[in-house]
Amino acid sequence: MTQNPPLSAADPYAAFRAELLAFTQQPELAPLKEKVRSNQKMTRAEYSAWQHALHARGWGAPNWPVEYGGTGWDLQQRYLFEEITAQADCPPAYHHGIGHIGPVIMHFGSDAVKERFLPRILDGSEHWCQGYSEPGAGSDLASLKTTAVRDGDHYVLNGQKIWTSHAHEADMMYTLVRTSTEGRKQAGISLLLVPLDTPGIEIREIRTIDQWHHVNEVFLNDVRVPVANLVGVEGEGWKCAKFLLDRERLSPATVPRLARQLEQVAELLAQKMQAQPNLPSIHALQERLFLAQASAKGARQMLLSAIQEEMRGTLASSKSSALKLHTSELSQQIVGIAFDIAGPEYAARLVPEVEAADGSDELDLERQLTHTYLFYRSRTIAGGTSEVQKNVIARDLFGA
Amino acid sequence: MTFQVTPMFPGDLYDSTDRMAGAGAADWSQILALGWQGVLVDEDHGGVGASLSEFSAIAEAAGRHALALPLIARCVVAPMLLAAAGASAPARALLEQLAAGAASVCPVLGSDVQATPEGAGRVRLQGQLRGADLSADASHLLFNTPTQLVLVEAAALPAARYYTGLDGRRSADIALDGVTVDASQLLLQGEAVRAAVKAASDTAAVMTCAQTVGALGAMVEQTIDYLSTRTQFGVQLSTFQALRHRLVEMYVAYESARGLVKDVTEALSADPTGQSRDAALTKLYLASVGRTVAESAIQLHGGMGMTTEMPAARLAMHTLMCNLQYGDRFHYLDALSAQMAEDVAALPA
Repeated sequence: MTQNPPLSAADPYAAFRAELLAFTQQPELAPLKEKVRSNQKMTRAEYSAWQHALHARGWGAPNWPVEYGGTGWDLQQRYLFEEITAQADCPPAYHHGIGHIGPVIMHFGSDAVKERFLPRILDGSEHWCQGYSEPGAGSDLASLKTTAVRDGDHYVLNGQKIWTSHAHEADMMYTLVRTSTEGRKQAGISLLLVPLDTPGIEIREIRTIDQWHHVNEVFLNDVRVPVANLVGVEGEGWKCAKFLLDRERLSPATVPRLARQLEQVAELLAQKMQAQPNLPSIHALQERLFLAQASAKGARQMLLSAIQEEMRGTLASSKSSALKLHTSELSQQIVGIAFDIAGPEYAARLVPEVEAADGSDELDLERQLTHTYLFYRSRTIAGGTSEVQKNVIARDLFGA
Repeated sequence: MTFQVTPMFPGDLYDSTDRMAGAGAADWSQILALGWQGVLVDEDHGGVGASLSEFSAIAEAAGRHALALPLIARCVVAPMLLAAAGASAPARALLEQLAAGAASVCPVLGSDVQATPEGAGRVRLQGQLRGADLSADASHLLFNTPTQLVLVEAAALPAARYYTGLDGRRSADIALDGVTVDASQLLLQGEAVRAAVKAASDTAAVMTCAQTVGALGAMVEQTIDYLSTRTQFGVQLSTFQALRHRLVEMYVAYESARGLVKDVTEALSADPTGQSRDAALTKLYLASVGRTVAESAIQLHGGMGMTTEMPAARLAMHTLMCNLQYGDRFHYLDALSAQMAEDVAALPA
């Protein structure tokens, strides 16, 4: 019978766990952890502080190979890192730099591109965002229309990107642009690294239902980007995008985060029971809580077995998509319980016009989970909608 | 077949059970001959002394074929109760017979029968045993009162009223009024009874979940097969997105249930006590997704889903039945809620 290493008695990762745990307990992290504990929206300041602390410890890039300054950890170790940091209320890693564009640059980038960009991703001094979606290209990303026309040593970009998370606080945007309109629509797409202080770029906030500033529109008008900022070969950007999707199809981060949120929701329900014991409607919330707890245990085991399959090279795409589908819906169920507990009290008082001087508004878990409930509607939309995931899984299961 | 499930605990036990049950001719005498009743019995009593994970492989593979036999009752509950009464010589002897396939003990948990000593070493029984799974012949019945574990020889019992259950299993209600047994047939008495019944019931509950996982996986496989074969409007049903998406929901529920049951079975194997809460969560969750998947399998098979001829329909009935055994969802919901209320009451104000 196979045992999952993190569960077995003779744990080969015991020393590693202890190191991680000690790291998360250092007092300098306390203010950061307080923000995470209250489920506040993370901004560049928090992500950078966390990246700085990790980098100083030599753990700046859990998913990178050692030669680029990464940890060289295997997936199992990365999972433990995620589980222990999530449990200790440390921030999640900022995915766009370390998680997404870093590995793409390593694989496809020229030496010059690697030298210019990788060190600043690693130390957190440059903040990245992803310019993929466009008004006419969402799930059907290959329909993108933003053009990049060669002019000497530059590409001249024109077009519009949308749903660009963190663009308002980023230095750089990796973006897919069209360098040719010939052939299949996947051909003629290129991956460019765009400094966001280049003239001709305008970033506008998109106001979203969660009332957090997260996503933006990015308008590109005659934006001149050096040809040296091209990643890989012109016209083969789709390959880079696919590489990124394949690499990131198994995210070890989601399950530990939702397990922690589930604990917090259970605490909120316990508080409600303390205040109003024997309320019959409590049972409705309890049933949802218990089902979510069971579901989270199932999701954790799904992830652990997917990690082992990935390490053996046998992971089917139906499995990783099923995990994404399942965990995104589960995360919505979890914050949905919190939303119902917070109820009309916070619905009417979501955003204080003047924040309390002692910071209590920002640290109010019920308030922040009300925001999160609204924000998490995007969980089944971003990164491949649930409907797209179902198409992917069905193709795999039916073999057509 | 396009998609094939990966068993939770692959190996010989799973494979041979799958083959045997799949042949469609499995009956209890075969199972006695295979020694399944002794899988969980320790080696001192002639059993295999296997872990629960290993038995789970049998349960999952049997569930794949909706095997309508008292597998969990006879191979999990009965040996666990008899082992708990190991201080009693008749219990030890019966455990050995059971492992050898020479006896088969039908357990009935939580009856309202009263067993009253009436002198001369005899005990008078009063009340009714309900829902004894007699899909296969039993040599003995074993039931509990709050503080007694009582063994009765099947031959000594009055006539019973028999029923056919949801998934074809046969159950019996037996009025015991007037039956007397020897005092030595009280195999266990006192507080220990409650603990033994609780441990057996929790374990059995998780094993019905392993059966359910087997049934869910098989329903996913067979529904894919059916949708890929059946043609309407000139095309295969598998080309319709609404049907594909519903199948995907069945699949995701199966994967999640499989992960949960594997996790809890491993935990129970390592430490048979102290997993009560996880057993309850598992049963609650499986009852919920089991119901949904069973209903989807019927729906996606159209009219054929209503026929007992269709394996998927039998798997759906088996799933509903397994979900209801050893505590239905409300039983576990109440237990979990009560536990939470107790935990909250213990919190500082």
